[in-house]
Amino acid sequence: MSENPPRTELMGSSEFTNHHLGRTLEVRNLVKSFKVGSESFGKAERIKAVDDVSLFVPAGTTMGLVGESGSGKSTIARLICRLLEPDSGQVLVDGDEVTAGTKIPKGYARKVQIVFQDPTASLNPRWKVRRLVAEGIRVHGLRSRSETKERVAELVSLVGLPEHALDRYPHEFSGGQRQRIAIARALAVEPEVLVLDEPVSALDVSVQAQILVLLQELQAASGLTYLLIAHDLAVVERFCDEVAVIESGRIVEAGDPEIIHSRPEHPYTKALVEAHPVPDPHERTMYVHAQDKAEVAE
Amino acid sequence: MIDTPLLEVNDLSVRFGSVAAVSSVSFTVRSGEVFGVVGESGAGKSATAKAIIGLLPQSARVEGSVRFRGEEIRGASDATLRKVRGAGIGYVFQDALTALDPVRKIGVQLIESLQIHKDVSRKEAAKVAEDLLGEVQIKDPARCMSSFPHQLSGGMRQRVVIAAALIADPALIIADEVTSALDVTVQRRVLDLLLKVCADRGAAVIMITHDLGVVAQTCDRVAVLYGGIVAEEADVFDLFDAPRHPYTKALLQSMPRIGEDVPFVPIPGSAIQVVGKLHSCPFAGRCSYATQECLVDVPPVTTEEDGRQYRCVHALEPVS
Ligand SMILES: Nc1ncnc2c1ncn2[C@@H]1O[C@H](COP(=O)(O)OP(=O)(O)OP(=O)(O)O)[C@@H](O)[C@H]1O
Ligand SMILES: Nc1ncnc2c1ncn2[C@@H]1O[C@H](COP(=O)(O)OP(=O)(O)OP(=O)(O)O)[C@@H](O)[C@H]1O
Ligand code: SF4
Ligand SMILES: [Mg+2]
Ligand SMILES: [Mg+2]
Repeated sequence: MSENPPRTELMGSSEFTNHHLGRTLEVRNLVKSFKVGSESFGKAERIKAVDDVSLFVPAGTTMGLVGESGSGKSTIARLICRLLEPDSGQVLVDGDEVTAGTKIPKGYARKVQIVFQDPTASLNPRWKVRRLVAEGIRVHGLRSRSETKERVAELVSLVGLPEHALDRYPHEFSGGQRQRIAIARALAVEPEVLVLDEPVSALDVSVQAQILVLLQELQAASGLTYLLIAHDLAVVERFCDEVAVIESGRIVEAGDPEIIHSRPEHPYTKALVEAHPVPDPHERTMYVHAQDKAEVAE
Repeated sequence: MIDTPLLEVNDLSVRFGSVAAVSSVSFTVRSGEVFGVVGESGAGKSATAKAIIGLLPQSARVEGSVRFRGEEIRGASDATLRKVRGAGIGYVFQDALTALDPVRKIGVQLIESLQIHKDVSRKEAAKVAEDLLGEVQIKDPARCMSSFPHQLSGGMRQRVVIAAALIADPALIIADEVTSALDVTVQRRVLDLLLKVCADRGAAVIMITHDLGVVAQTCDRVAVLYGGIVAEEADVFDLFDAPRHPYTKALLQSMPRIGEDVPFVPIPGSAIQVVGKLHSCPFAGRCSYATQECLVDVPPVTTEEDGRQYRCVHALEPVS
């Protein structure tokens, strides 16, 4: 799945153990609509952000979710994590219904974690990184005080941040560093299902590779189940066991990520493959104006 | 007439307490040019951008000079900076959400951004705003105008912020990771629009990105940042064809290419954060060419005849 050498040293003396087997994640016929517009700016109407979506992610595997901006990906993520109540449909983890609006099963809050598309909004600006990462461990009573301290330091280094990051506030970090703090925070409570909404889009390729390898190692060690929202087909190809393509709230294509790449049956995936920016200035095919400039330069 | 560059950054340094985020960065941006700034997470890209338009927090210590159309704006008064921002320099920051007021509708915010700088009626401004939203590929501009930020998807918000930066026709656009939240089809249209603005109106863009594909497709010249210094600055063709700085070379080799089976080589180790004053080449800890010489001081700037610059004591051979 990965072309990188496995970075087992990353795990070091880590305490990631095989103490739980993964959980399946399933959504059935989810529908969510929003009221949009207002009287003052025109007539109010409802749009269907998620329209009869069903997905099944086997335990210990990764499902990629790709689709145009505004197609409903983050809304699905929020429905899964009980942050939004669907109009209809169900969310099930390991066969148990956990749909928002139903009674929350014991331990669910820890088992299912989300890394948001916009990491800044999810990090309390008044807490230092140490507390941001430790809070979940404390709330769920997962470890002793000294163990928590060690674990927090370990997580921060696993996501590639220096030790002194622990004593700083979220606003003191670069965009990519903040995204990694959010990942460390989600991992801290040892989730079984992790919903990752564009977790690496703000990261350069080296850090991206580091984070993806870390996530893969965690999955291999403890059977985590991932739903990965990403717009980068290269990431999806490398990382996912299966991928679903969503368009205007509906799943339009699903299957093996390589098949989607090599035989894009759907215009959207085709467009994605074609529009990928070639990292070579001699091949300026995409941008008309850039092309003109290149011709002038010759 | 002497052609004054649009933007001259000279010896710019930014410190946050003991962290040296930017150390002696210099570069020049001319009208009509797309100037790329690349580098890994934490390299100092956003700190440089924010220092240029004076939007760093109070806690930051900034030194050096920033000239916009020949006028010093580093440390300028709030009144001067307010005038420069928007109409002179439009900026799109990495964190799109925080750039928008959560309790006001998008339309109201866009109209206001235009009316601050241009004497236009509300109706005209609304028309301009709606057209611009269409240009950044928002499917339903009218709906977007009447939405609050939280009612939009991440990628839609990102594009709203781009529209806000463009609306007052700035001469320079600072675009910090503007397309990293967008899929490549939308990214392409947005970048096209930025390039069109450059070509049609002679505006310049500082394109901050970690995506070398975007750099290759859009930039004229590129500065490669590492550990807060400009490791190398060159014409985009020269940079990709024959990197002189080992970090540039490593960065180019770390590019994954979609659909190709060439494994990419991530740069070993992780990016550094410079604490205290920089006394050696910041890349030394990860560089396969490093020697004792690299540790005695920050390598000096070497400038070649064609203006290409790099800071390395063992620069790679130019390939002819
Ligand atoms: N709270 C809300 N109120 C009204 N409309 C909403 C709300 N949240 C989302 N929407 C709308 O639902 C649609 C789907 O949004 P969603 O955030 O799920 O998209 P996405 O696929 O994650 O897109 P992106 O790739 O841009 O993040 C969009 O049209 C958006 O404007
Ligand atoms: N307000 C702040 N206080 C303290 N340190 C800061 C602050 N802002 C940035 N830094 C530090 O300065 C360095 C440069 O940050 P900057 O935001 O410029 O990085 P960047 O190149 O934009 O990275 P990214 O690609 O992740 O956005 C980082 O090490 C960061 O942790
Ligand atoms: S100065 Fe030395 S350590 Fe730095 S890039 Fe050049 S060879 Fe490598
Ligand atoms: Mg989203
Ligand atoms: Mg940044």
